[in-house]
Amino acid sequence: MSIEGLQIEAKLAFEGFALDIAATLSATGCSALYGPSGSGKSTLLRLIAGFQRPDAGRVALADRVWCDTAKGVFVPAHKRRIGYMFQDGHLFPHLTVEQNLAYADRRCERRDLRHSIDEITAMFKLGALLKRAPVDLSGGERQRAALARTLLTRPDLLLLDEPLSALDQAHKSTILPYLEDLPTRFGVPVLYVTHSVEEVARLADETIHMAQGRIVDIGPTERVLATYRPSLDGAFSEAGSVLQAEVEAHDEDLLLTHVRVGAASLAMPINRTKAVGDLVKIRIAARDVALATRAPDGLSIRNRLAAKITGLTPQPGSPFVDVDVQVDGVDLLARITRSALQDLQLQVGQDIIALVKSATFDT
Amino acid sequence: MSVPDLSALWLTLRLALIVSGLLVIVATPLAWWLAKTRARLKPVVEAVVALPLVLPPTVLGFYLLIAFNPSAPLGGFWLSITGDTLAFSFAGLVLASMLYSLPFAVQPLQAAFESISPHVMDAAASLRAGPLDAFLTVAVPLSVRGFLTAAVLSFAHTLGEFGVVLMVGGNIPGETRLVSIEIYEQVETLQYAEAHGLAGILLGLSFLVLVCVYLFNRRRPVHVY
Repeated sequence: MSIEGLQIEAKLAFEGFALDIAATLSATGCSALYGPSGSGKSTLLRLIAGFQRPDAGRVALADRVWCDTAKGVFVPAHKRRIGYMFQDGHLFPHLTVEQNLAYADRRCERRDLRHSIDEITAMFKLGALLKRAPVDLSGGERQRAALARTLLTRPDLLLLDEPLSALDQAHKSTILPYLEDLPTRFGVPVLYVTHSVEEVARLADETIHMAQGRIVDIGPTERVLATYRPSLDGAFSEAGSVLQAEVEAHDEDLLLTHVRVGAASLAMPINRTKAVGDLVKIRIAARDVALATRAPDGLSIRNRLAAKITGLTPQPGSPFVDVDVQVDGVDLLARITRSALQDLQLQVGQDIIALVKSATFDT
Repeated sequence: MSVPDLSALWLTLRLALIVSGLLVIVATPLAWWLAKTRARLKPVVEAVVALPLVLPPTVLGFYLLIAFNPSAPLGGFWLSITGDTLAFSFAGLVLASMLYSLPFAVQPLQAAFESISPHVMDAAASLRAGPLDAFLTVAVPLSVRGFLTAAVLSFAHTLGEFGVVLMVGGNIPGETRLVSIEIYEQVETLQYAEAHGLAGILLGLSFLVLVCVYLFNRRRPVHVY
């Protein structure tokens, strides 16, 4: 029987930081390595790439062993057939965009595999930028060129280290479609490091949630994000639900898109890029879900879903309580205050109306 | 100007060219190692490289003279393979000058290599470039100014050498009599007119070389983003 997936076992200690990982990733589609800075996700990516050696451990893709400290095996990065894209692209500053692309293309032994350098240039709309130096590119252009360069190595596995974090919102939205297309259009499995829940929800099929050098949770993105209960200290409070939805209709008069979640219907700000019938992922932050015991009058919130309470989780040391509710078989997370819980006397099993305040249409 | 003047000048230029050329070759791997290593030995090696900066040239020359003696291992080895002695020979001058100018080649190169982000080298590796390939196609082009500075400084420093070469080379016309020694001789014998000629040429030459370097540095700003 052949071994599948990306197998990682690694121990690595720095000053004040220890990484201890054992996991097998599917290495199909897009997997996100998600966690706050300092959680070890970038270090893990560097271990997989071969930029870093573990103190002890083993890294293998299917039956190709890249590193096995017990057997003294270490395949250097340039022989691993990985593609690696850095946070700031790291185009070579002494070469033009064209020369950067050619640098990768020339060193690839499988140039007939997948797309040619001309096809890639066209796909990434780099034609007009070919003669430019990296220093004369905008952040978005630089990342586009860096991604194109990485693909020209025709990698077996694509490692992306926070490729959007150095970009502003406008540039992010120009790069995202390319990232979304990677697994299907280029047939390359992707491992994507990010600290943004939005990017995880939009891109990843599988999510590895990391904290303090360890894997907290691993599984399908929707399940991992739904289970995820971050602490409230700091800006890292993005608890919420990711829901599978189907586009029902666009309302051009009110500028709304109606989506169906389970048996319920939600109205979102219009997004014409999605056709009726498309399956989309939507993300609803827990703090944007309010609860009412009966249908309220004179309230501006339009999305009102009949729901049942399935769980109550007071957050230790904070005024908030996370409430799990179920809407026609779909799980939704709401965050309310302890005081509201007391006043409304909410209990598990109770019927309730979930009011979705902010319709964050993610895809 | 008399004929011996020019032969001393020619010998000096030849020495400086050979020394700076060889030094760039020798100093490059040493500087790369110093820039990248985390070995505990690093400060010791750095101190050894920097020694010629602080040692009186006579001290360095004295030890070299002893090492060049045919009865010493180095001098004996050289004699056995070339049939010539190192002391008071052009080859001895080259070797002594290389040691004396070593920090002027190693330090600019080390600084240039240290300023290259390790991520850029990782990027090269992820594009299938092996270590030597990545060094030649990424590290070297990004360190052009370091190479130029190293070559020019070791060239200029060798031009201006006096103490060490006097100790190990002596004053043999056409073999070890360099411009600096020639000028010293002329001044000692009160031939001020000849000394003026040679000193003027050396001054002009040094100035010209440095102007070229600074012009080059201004035209090629470092790309940082």
